[in-house]
Amino acid sequence: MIRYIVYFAEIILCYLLQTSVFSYFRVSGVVPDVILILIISVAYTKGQNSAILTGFFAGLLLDLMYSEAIGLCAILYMLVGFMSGYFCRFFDPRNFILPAVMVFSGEFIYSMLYYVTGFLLMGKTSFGTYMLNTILPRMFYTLFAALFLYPLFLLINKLVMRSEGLEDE
Amino acid sequence: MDRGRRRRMAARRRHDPNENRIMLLPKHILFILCFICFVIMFVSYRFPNAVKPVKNVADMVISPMQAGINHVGTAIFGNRQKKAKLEELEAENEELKSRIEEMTALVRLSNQDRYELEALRKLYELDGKYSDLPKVAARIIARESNGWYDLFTIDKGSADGIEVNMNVMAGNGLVGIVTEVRKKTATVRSIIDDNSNVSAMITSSGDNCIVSGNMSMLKNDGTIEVSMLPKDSKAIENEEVVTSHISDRYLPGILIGYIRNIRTDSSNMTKEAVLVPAVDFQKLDEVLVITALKEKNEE
Repeated sequence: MIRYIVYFAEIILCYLLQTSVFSYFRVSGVVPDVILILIISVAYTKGQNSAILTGFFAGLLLDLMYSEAIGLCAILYMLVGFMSGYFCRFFDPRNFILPAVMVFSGEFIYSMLYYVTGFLLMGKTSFGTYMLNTILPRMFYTLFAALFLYPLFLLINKLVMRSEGLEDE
Repeated sequence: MDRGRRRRMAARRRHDPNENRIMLLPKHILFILCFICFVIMFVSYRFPNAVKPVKNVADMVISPMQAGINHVGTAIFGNRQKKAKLEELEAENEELKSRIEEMTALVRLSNQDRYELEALRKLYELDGKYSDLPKVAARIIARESNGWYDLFTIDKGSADGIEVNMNVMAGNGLVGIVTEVRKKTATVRSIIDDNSNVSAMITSSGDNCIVSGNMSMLKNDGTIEVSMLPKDSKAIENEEVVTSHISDRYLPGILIGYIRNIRTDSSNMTKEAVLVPAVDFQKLDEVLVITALKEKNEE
């Protein structure tokens, strides 16, 4: 039971980090995709099902506040969670390279899908500009933020598992 | 746990007679949730009012936290900037004092012009200037989170009399327009957003044009795009651009920015230019919402 409360708290925490806290630390106009880091770390430690659910709820929260069509972010985050969940079988708490690569490529996939659904289909074809000004800075900034946030999520997960009496390998 | 999943899958492969629960594989969950999302997407797009109560609930939970973070953030960063700027300000103060002397002389001159202007304005019944319109001050508590659009959330909503399509200003320049209202907060689309189009007018010549956000130009040098300027327009560099009378959502006469780089566009039919916004969007913190709508104003 405790862990579900913690999961929801994590989602809201990430949402607040992304929309409010990091808006004070913008680098070239972008904020890191904290929610994506959460989804990747859930996918890596717990597998596809948990990642899909996290993506669903976090994406919906984001959509509720900002999108006109509620559900788009949720779908994209779920897809990223589904894909990265495959890597759960390689989970090793001491391996930080694989999650870093996952965050980096996950952000790329998410941004590309976001560009295609939100911009390309609306007739905005200047891909180079978006790639240089939004996608690339976001990928690197998210990777940077993940260096601090991924260990934090790992630690929270460990504590929760311990308090529930489930030993986390 | 992945381990649990694998065990269950293995159990199914062995056709274990005890395992007769319906299996939900990740791809099934993904498919079901995606379907739900598509339904929500369709409903929220076609019937925006249907999702309003849900949005209000989410807003009531989230926005107090955002406002709190914002409070702390401005306290910390405001103080740091204050210290750094103190010396700069002292030097500037000296300079400004001497400027005041010059200015008072100028004011006396321009006062005479003002009386003349007021008299003329009465004559033309142009008294509905935006400076007389009711305004509500609001604080920006969150920005659109993904770096693609330039939307932000302000801490005033329908409870404070905010409505969709109200104009938002900062200082004396146009910031954007309210696109969505919840109980305690509202979303504003700024004029530098990629999807923003404002019908505008050059002050001196009265030529109409369109001011639209353009992310690639904005990232390069902080400017946005002006198009559809008549080919015979006599607009000159650095002239003021204000919102036009023919706009259906923006009140007339609000300063948008200053025009530059006027040139004939590729179709050779109209002119295009770039616009330097009057508002510094990097340092936007507090805004003013004009609580009068264009349509109502004209009634």
